[in-house]
Amino acid sequence: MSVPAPVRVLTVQAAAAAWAVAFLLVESWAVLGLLVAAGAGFSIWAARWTAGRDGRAFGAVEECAGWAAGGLAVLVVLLPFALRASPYWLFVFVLAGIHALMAVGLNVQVGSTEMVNLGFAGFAAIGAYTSAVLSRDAGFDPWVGLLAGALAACAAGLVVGLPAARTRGYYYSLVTIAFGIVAYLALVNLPAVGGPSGLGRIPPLSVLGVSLRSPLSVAGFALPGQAPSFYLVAVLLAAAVWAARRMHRSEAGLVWNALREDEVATRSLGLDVTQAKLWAMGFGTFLGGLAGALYAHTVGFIAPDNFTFLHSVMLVSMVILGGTDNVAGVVLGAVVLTVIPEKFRAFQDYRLLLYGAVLLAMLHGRPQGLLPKGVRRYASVPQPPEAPRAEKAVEAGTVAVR
Amino acid sequence: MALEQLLNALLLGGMYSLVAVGFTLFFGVLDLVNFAHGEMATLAVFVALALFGVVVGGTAWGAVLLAVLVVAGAGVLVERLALRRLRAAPPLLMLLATVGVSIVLREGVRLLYPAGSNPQVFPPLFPEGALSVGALRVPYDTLAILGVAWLVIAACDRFIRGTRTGAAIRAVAQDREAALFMGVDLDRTVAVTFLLGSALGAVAGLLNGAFYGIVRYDMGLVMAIKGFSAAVVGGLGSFYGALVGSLVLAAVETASTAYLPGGSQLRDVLSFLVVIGFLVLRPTGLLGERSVEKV
Repeated sequence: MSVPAPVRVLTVQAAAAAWAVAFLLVESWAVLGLLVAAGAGFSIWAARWTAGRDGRAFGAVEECAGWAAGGLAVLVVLLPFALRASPYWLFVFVLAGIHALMAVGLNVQVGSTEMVNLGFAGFAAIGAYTSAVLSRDAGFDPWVGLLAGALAACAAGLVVGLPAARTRGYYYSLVTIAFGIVAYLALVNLPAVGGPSGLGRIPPLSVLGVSLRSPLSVAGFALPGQAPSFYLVAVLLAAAVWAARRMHRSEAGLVWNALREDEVATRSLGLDVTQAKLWAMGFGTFLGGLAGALYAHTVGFIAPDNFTFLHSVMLVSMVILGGTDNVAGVVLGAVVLTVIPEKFRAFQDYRLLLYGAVLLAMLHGRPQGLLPKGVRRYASVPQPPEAPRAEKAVEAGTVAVR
Repeated sequence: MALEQLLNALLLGGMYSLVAVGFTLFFGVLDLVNFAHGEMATLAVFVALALFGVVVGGTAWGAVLLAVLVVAGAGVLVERLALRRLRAAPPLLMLLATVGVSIVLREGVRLLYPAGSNPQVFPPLFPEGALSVGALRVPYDTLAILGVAWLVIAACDRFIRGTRTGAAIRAVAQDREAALFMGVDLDRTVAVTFLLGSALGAVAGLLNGAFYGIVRYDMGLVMAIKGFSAAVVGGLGSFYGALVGSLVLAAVETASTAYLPGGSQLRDVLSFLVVIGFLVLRPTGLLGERSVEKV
């Protein structure tokens, strides 16, 4: 065990990435079965190999987070090269990134604050339609549209949030369901934005006059037309993750968690509950609108059917299955829940059914999500040196009491 | 004209309240918003359709009653298999589980029923024709559906108010721990609640099918959202609140369809705006309890 921790982490990351690419590209079900078995065995081994100093599985990943983030960045940059023969999968990853962007925004509400927003697709729709109309019909640059779309969704979030902050729990969920449905129905009934058939020919984003939908050529490798969008989404997602973590560690983030635990107690401590809820609404819907606009410019076509109640539900399940209030977990949840159903596209008709079944299986098998939320740690507070067997003692105590 | 609209509102309200009462029961007993509730309506309709084909010579009513029973059993099964284990988990997870169940049921119906993706014709259960009272023309089926809906609601009310099991349901809804101390069997009470709620949802679906004559695999989603809205407007957890909420929602929809230009398209938009308005002004619904929260 003399291999340094960063090397172990990077090795495991690289192996996992290679495994994922193989999993996507292999079509034979027999080989896939073998791959899944090998992957399961590998992860059991890797969990122990990269155990942290306190013995937690994969703990080393957290201990050298800088290395892990760097390794992840390199892998993300390399992914289009690995997938250059199958643009379809690259496109799926673009979608996964957009979903992850939405899920990171939604997590602020569902995960941190436990405001279960079941109309998030409506906010994404506002971003998408604003950006599309501005760039397609009003002649603005798509980048302006992107920002305007995010801001419009954010404004809608605050408008809905101001009265919704008075409600809580299921009532808040219903306000958002109602908002999502009103948004959907409004789009269907507005001929100005294409009605049910939606808007087409949305211009792509471009950098220095080069469209982000055109193929890319790097060091002699021809990358498909999805690669530029993929990199853009990756950069924006990284920025969003960074911002979400900053928010989580800020005072507003602390108030969010306090709200989740007990709203009345939070209020009686003199904390501004309404303001915290508005932050959660505004920040979350900003990211939702941004992701929606990004979708519009990447795909070039949007319709009301891209923003239904079912989409909202899927976004919430991404947050919960990834791990509520854990930004990395939420991103993982979004990627897994976007990519895995695509793998089953051979069973096109059964995809939703499988989705529901997987959802149920996950809820019963791993209800805390793929990456459970951690305990808040504060750098200024010195960690107690070693209290390794504390949980074990508590467990034993509980058993004794029972 | 006005009388006819009133009748329409009552009819719609009756169908909504069948669904809304189910939502309110689940919420009262389990603190759960059951997103799979609408699928019980769909399931009932398609089970009945399948039975119509099998039971040749039997009456349509036999198939309909059997469908209600099947769906009531399905509701109990769903609770037992998918929800019971999550009872101690955060409420969010149980809510998500019901979403999973609803997807599985909806897709199951779509894939298992022949040509299930297409709208299906549902036979009329009630005689054609209409009763004329002065200028007012009341179709028999409207009258019959209205009668069945309110009869079922009344029976449900009698059950909850007047029986031991009903008392157990009310006790658990009021205070679960206290009810457990009094010897109420929680598992059994929850099972009965699901039996009752799902049967009501099934009746709602069947009446809906008989009234419109066309059913779709995704009809449950719309019914669920309407029923849930009605329950919330009235106050989740309150039985009479669900009835009042359904009538309010039905009145808004009927009025906007009848008296607003282009109202039939705006109907759903308007009714949801009303729901939002209610939630903001009276967050606990019309008849919901004004709870004083303690830390």
